[in-house]
Amino acid sequence: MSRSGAYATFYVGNLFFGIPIAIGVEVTKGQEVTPVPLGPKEVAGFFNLRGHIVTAIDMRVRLGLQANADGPDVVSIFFQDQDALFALMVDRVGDFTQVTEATYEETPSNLDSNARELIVGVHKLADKLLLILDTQKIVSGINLVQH
Amino acid sequence: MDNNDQILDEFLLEAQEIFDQLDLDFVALEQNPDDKKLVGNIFRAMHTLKGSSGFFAFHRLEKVAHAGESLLSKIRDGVLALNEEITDALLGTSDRLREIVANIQKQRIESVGDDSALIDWLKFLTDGGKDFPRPGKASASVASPVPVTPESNTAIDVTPQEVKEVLVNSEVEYPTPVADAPDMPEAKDGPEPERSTEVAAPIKVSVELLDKLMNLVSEMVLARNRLLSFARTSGDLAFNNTVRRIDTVTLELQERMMKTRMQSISHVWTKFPRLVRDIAQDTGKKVELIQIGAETELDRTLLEAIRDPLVHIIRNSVDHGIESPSERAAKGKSEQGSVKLRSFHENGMVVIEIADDGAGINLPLVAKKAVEKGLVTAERVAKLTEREIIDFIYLPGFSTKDQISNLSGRGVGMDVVRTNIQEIGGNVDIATSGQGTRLRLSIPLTLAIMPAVFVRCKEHSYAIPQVNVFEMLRYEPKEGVPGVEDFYGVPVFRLRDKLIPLVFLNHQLKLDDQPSPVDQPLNIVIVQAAGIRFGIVVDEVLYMQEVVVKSVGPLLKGTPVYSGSTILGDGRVALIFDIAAIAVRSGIIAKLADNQFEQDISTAIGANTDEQQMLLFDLLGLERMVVPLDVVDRLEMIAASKIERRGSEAVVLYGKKIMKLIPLTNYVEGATHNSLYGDETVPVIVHYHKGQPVGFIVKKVHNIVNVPTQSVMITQPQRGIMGSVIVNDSVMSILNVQEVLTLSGMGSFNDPAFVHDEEAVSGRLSMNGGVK
Repeated sequence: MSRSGAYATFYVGNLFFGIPIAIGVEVTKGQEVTPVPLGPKEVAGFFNLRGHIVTAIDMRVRLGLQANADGPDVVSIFFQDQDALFALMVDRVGDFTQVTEATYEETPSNLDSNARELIVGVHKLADKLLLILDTQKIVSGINLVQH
Repeated sequence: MDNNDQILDEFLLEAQEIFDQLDLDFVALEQNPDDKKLVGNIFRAMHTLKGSSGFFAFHRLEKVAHAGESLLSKIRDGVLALNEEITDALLGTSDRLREIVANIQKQRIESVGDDSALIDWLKFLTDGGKDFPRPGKASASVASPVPVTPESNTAIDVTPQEVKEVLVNSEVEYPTPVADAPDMPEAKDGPEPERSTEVAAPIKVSVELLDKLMNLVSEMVLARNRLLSFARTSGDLAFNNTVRRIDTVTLELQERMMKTRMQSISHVWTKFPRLVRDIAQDTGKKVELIQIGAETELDRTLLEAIRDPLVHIIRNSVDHGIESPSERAAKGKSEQGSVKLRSFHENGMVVIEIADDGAGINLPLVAKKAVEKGLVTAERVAKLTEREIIDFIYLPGFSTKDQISNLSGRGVGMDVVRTNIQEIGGNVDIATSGQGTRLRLSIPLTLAIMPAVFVRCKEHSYAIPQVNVFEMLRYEPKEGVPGVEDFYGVPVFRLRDKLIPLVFLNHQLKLDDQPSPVDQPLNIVIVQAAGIRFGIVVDEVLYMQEVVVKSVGPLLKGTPVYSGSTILGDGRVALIFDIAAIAVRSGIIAKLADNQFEQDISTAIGANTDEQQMLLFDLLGLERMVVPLDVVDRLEMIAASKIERRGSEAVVLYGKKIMKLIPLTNYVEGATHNSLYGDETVPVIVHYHKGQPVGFIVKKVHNIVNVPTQSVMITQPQRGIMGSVIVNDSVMSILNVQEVLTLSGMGSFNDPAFVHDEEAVSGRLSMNGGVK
């Protein structure tokens, strides 16, 4: 993954994340999500985006954070992985941010193992850290069979 | 995908079409050897292939096509007449070309191989030779390339004249495409207008594009729905008119869009003339294939799904059904048999009939095989109806052929056909007589749209495919009327005297920890999946609707409970259940499959009246006891701590009554006497005797088995056992309830309360007549 480029940013808890907009990102609000009983716990449910079924992933669950008291937020970020559409349910969406390689740094090795799998690197912005997520891993790392 | 790849893909697609057309033309040609137009068509097809392969530098393809083309040119020019050997050689050529192209498709480059034997043969025929020394039939020589002999080492021994022809071709054909690569398809289409069969070339549209359009249309329908609700509240006439216009256009757009997914069934059928010809040739039969209604349309995905079943059925028809010419002559039939394919629309389904005029299914032989395989007893089989006997051929591994041929006889066939057809929501029906066999497949028009029943569970609605739904009912508990009962931990419902296991959706989906209480009204949807009927308890049955089925995406692969999803009118997503998966998950199917007795053929071919239902249970040291179900009133698990002693008896408070507990081990021969309530809970079969509950303590209760009445026999009298039954080669002992009750001091044989039971049991036993 290229280290510089444009990122769509968002907040989950007090963490600030980015995913490359090159994969095709779109932001919407107020989707009514149909939950999936018996499905993987990370899957918040499905909703409809212009006739497509979108699988919504609850990022708080995915990142192993405390669940939001109000349930997953309504803001979601879409992207396409292979044939399927996914949405990340996040707390708040930030700006599109352009970064250069100068601010890039590898993931610190003492990061939580679950987070290290998803976070490919970090950009030191002026006021905070931008954690770069690997969208493919967000999807592929979900354990499909739940007990 | 880069430009070259695209061109290659188009070439592969075109090659596929050419092969399909070639197969048809070859067979047609064999029937009309003098049809010059057909020869011309085939010649041109080969030529097109050769030209394209030259452009891609596929040398094998080019050489084989060239050799075939040379032979064809001789036939076209009338120098040679078509005979069987030439047809074989040409079909072999077509096969080889197809094989090479298939490899190209996989590896994107031409594979290495030796075609010299085939080319030599073609060359030999081109030169007017006959009876080329070949190892076998055409198909054999294709499958195994002949080792190259020294004299056939040179690939093409072209005569000067032919070399010139190649050169001329290369001048005419190649420069254009090479100079202007993107225009390749048009360039290749050069010879096409001459083809007699095509009228106007349709445009090829990728399936993804169609699917995308389909999605957009669905989205538009939803937007229209919202617009309509605005229009209802608006008083603006011009606005309302515009909305109405949009409404009609959207509707039409939707209908037209649906049509683009449809393809005529001829796409599958084109392969069959060749298939029939090959099988007929191999089996030495004469068979003609008649196709009626090839223009009938059905959904593209369904076409794929019916291809293999159809191939299998047609193989069966030709291999098993149609007799050899001599047999047919002896029966007064014409020597040439026929297989008739017919397809038409009926009641919103597509019906495909495959009828042959062969010998029909040999029902006595089927019955005999069924007995040999131990699927049914000889006495029983005599009573079966024709339909029930036919049902045997659907069982896995069932074949009447003693010899396994490469065509059929392995016994994997009709069960797969039926499974495949049922998977796409269709069904199979067979009718047979000495004049032939007719299979009738009924298939839904499309899988993309299906009728579904929407139900509510908690605050969300779910769809149940209507093909699975048998009936829907509302159960209101009433005093004294048995409704939902506990059958050993499984809630069951009495539906017209049949016990239907219930699945509580809220509990099953883990939305609630406990199933809904059964003492309040319940909404039950009776469904059937994998031959098992069960009831799903839902909070509410909402409505029925045609839904557009969409996939659920990759993250639900581990959650097989859902077969798809759909978008509702308000834009929300609803999940569609996979009823078979729910049956498995809830344990209903697994429970039944666990028990080998359920494999009894009687359950496989449906209910039969000559059966008695019995409850299977174990005693300590004595397994497989049964008791007639009509003696069993309830099953309970009773906590050992609740069991009290009253004198020498063990009793328990049961409802408002005292129930006497009888340890069956004390009264049945062969059981081990042992401490009774070692476990925390004790399984008890409750029987009401003179209005008083009596509990028989057992070790374990299994399930209900259907016992054919004929297999009941009386064995040597033993204490507590009145006889035995054999189900699937297992002997089970029938509990003598009366004797146990008498021995335990509960009542006598003459007790009025017993008359019914006694008749029920001994009446049936006497049918067997005598002691074995």
